Formats: sequence, structure tokens, C-alpha cells
Amino acid sequence: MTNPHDGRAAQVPVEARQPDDLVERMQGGDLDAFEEFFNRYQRPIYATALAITRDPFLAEEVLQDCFVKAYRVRERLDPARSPLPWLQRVAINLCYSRVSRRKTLPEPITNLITNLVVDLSARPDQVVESREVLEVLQRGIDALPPKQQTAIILYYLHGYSLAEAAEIADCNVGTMKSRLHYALKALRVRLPVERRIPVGPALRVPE
Amino acid sequence: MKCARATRELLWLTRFGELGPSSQPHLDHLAGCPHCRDEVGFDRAMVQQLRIALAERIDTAQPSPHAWEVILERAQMPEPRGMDAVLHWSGALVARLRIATAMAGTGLAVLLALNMNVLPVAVPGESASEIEASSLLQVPRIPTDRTALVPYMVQSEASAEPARPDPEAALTNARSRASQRTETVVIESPSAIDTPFQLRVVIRLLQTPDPGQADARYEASEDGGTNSTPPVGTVSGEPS
Repeated sequence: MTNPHDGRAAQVPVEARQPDDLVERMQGGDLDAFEEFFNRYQRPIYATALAITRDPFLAEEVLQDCFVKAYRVRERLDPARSPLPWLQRVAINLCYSRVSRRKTLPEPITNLITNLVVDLSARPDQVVESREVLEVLQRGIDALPPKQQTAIILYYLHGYSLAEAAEIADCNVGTMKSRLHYALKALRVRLPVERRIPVGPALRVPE
Repeated sequence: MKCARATRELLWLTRFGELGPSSQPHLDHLAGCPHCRDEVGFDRAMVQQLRIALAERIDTAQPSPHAWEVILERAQMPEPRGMDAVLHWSGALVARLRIATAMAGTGLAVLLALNMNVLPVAVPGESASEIEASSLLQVPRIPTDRTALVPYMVQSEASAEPARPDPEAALTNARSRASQRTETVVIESPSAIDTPFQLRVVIRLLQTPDPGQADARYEASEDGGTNSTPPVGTVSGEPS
């Protein structure tokens, strides 16, 4: 039995979570420090925003708002702690306020590209089945409640530990586990049902 | 250990990497239960697919190269705060209230106009010229033809037979009258549907029970020629 932490794609460099004097220098009004701060944390923040909104333009808006806010409240940041959990929390809140205002999610451009450049060397039925499963999962992720969606993005996409994910989501570890459990349960229930639905007219049995 | 419990606990343990020495009973069960192995295997495969699906969402996308410049410019601008923010929000609220009030007023005006018959409403039997005239005058139409059923009443009273004491015959006669009344009012006097009072009468007559039997009675009475006049007068004009 393997630990699910193993083999996890760690998109966030671990050293980015280590605090240093960057925040102190930024608090002193050093714009170079602010630029370094941005370069260090922009990628995980953008990834979170893009994973939630599925819209590159919206994700960039969230990124900008998040770092502008960080600069304005820099005096209140604790230099002894990594600012990343706080940045993630702000980004998540900004994402959900924008997504709820817009009500509908657009068809993501990345999905269209993936459909076009799908591996044609594989067997067509395997390609269709794999693509279908991923589509079902994408829709399932979109349909999850925001807290469960946040939990799986932090835990399975970013590779945060349960404790780190719980700190970002401002809850305890047990709650984080529960959110992950219910998110997976919802996806699991959704998966076999949707797989039985014909994708298009080509799959219908001729009478 | 039962399968349902074993599966539930195994899923929890494997998802969070919490298998340990205390999990030996679960592992023993797993070794001998193909159903639980399938469940745990399916869960692991789904988590792998979930990771791929999540990675697809971000793929290789990067923020635009101008993002830093925009952030720097915005960060150095003075932050709108206090009174400015209040004025901004109150201005937006007033604008929205204006639109909502205008829409509500328009809707109310339309409702009042329809309710007062100011707008032309098509009535069966009323010609287009009458509708146009009434709409030009803009005078609420007052129902004047309250006695539209009077001719039938008079006619029925003139031809009505004297009351018989036989209850079965009276019941048969009443059914026959019901079907005849319905057809008479609808066909011969459609323009009589003019007031709420008469409208209620027509609706009541249309709800005649057992129409097949009523039709048969009507045909029989026509053939006999003794009761062909619709005896509306006996129950007409009495709203229920």
C-alpha cells in the first residue's frame, strides 16, 4: 500500500515555503524585494487561481489583486512565517467571489487544446475512454462545493500536506480530511454514472 | 469484519496514508476479499486520474509578462478608502434603485391599465370597430346585457310542463335539461358571455356530469318532439 503523498506532482517548490528576510525588506519599502516576493510566489498563486476559475484572464486578475493586496497590507505580514498560506487564502477568496459573480464557467481553452493534441498513437477506444473519464472528473470538480474543491486543489494539485492545506483553508486537519473524503466520494459516485452516458450520436446503437 | 465497514475504513486509511500496525485486520480482510480489493483499486485509479485532471487545468499556463508592471503600478497608486469607498458604493446603489423603481412603475401602470379595461381586450362577438372605439374613448366597459338569458327563460316558462310528482322522471328530465342548456347557451348566445355573473353560469353548465347520458337524453327528447325547447328557466341565472 503506497502513501498517496508519494508520486505527487509537486508544482510548488518546497523552498518557497521557507520564510526569510524578504517580508522585512518589503516592509521597509524595498520594491526590489517586492519583485522578488512576486517572482517567488506568483506561480503557485496563479496555479490555484487557474485551477479554480479555469480562465487564464480571470486567473491573472486574481493574481494581480492578490499581490497588490499583499503590498498594501505588508506591514501586517509576519516576517517569521511564510506568506504563502496567507496568499493562497486571499487568492482562493478572490477566485470564489469572482466565480460566483460570473455564475457560469467557460469552456476552458486548455481542454480544447488537449482534445486537439491527444495522443493518436493509442487505441482510439482507449483514447475516447480516457478522455471521457477526465471530462467527467473535470465536471465533477467544478460541481464540488467550494470548500471541497479547495481541499482537493491544495492536497492533490499543489501537494500540500494535510496540515498545510488545513492552515490555508483555515480549518483543522480532521476537517480537511473530511472535506477530501467527501470530495472523493462525490467524484466516485459521479464517475460510473456518467460513463454510461453516450458521448455523441456515433456511439448510439443503430436500430 | 464486514465488507462495507472494511471498505470504508480502508479507503480512509489509504487516501491519507494512515495504514499502520493497527491496520493488520484490514489488510487481512483485503487479502481475502476481491470486492474490497476492487474498491480500493478503483479509488487509487480514480485519484491518479484526478491528479491528471487537476494538472490539465493549469497545464503550462503562465501569467502574462506584463503582470509585474501592472501590479507595481497598481500597488503604488493611493488606495481608495473610507469616504471614497462609501461614496462609490452608495452611487452604485442609487443607480440600481432608480432602474428598479422605473421597472416597477412601468409594470404597475400596465397592470392598472389591463385591470381598468383601458387597453383593448378581445371579447367573443365584439367586432374590431367596437374594440377600436372603446379603446379610443378609454371608458371602462360597463356590462349592460345582464338579461341575456331572459328570452330563454321566457321561452322555457311558456313551454314548461307542469311539475310531476314522479322523482325518477324528474331526475331524467333534469339530466336532459343540463345537456340541452349547455349547448343552447354556448351556440346560440356566445355574445352573452359578458359579465362575470353570466360567465359563471356558463362554466357551471359546461360541467354537466355524465355527458354521454345527457346527449342520449337530448336526442331522445328531440325525436319525441315534446321537450326540444331548452328549459333553462328552471335553474338559470343562479350562480352556485
